[in-house]
Amino acid sequence: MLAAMVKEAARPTIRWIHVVKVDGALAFRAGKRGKDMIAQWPGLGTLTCARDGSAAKFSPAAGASGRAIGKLQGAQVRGLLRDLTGQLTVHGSAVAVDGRGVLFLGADGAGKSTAAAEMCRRHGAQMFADDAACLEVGEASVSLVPCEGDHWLTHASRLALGLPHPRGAASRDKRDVRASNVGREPCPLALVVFLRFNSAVEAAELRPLRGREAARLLLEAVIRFDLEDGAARGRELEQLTTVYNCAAFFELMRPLRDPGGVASFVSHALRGRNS
Amino acid sequence: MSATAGNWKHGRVRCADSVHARLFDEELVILDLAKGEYFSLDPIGARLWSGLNSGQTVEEVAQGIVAEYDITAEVARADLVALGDELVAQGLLVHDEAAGQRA
Repeated sequence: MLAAMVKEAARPTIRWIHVVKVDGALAFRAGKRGKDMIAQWPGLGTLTCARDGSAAKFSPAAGASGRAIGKLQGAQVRGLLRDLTGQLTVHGSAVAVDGRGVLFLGADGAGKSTAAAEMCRRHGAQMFADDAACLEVGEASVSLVPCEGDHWLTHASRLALGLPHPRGAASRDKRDVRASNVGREPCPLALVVFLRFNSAVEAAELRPLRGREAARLLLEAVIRFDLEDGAARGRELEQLTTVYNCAAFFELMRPLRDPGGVASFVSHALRGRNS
Repeated sequence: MSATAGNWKHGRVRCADSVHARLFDEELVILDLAKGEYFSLDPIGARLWSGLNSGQTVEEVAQGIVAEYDITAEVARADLVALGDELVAQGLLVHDEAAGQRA
């Protein structure tokens, strides 16, 4: 017992550098403990790894559901580890339409997962990501990399898409649906659509985003682990510049009552990119 | 306050070592690694930034803007100086010692 206490006392303390709260409750935090990086999702699990992303270990929290852990590992955990190896990952969903990548960004609840599911289930798109979209950024090219194969949808989203909601699941709970057509190979990114609900608009509106407005939305979407790594953040800004130069950016604002209807706007935006 | 804050209008300035900047079309996004903060500038601000970083004085940048926009030299100079003051105060631009030695 004494030995264990001494060992605990000698352990470096955690310095939290990034804390996210939702409705006042801790939802996520990331920090450093000695030479290790640490990320914690209360009730779900803890990720530890070296500063270069090696020796990664995810420890599930007691009682956490296997499905929720699987989603976390396939999206957020993957994104954090990719950040440590210089790869760009953004919080968003992604699909491919006729070999062209479409990335959906937006705040939580903006309809990113629903948009991807609508594109895949009704319009033959390939699924690439539901929550964390992986990007391969070259000198003058950007590709989407397929990394998730499940849609995670709320009751309302399932209703809009004509899908049954599992019995016993709360209406706000997101439940997984296997995508019918999952991407296998990277494809060039063509379009970035920032989704927003706005009860003040009568009908959906699509408008181009340019310059710093597009840059700000990209910056807000990046999944970062080591916020104090200046070299990584500088590299990230270069990567985002390439993303901006390689894709068309739009904002799609929709009335709250209409969560669907994304496909026609995506088609319109892609046609505009062809002309 | 550094010496740069007072004399930047007459000397040469450059981007601080901890700062990265990238153009998104004509607008500039600036990342200050020291503070972990992002800033952005409109096309005119981006012109000031690139002009100062390429060795122009604020007066020279103002002349270029007056030639292109419907604006008087006085107004252009005052707006650019105000923005330059802010960029220096934020530590994004610093006095270019090397430029002084080269001159």
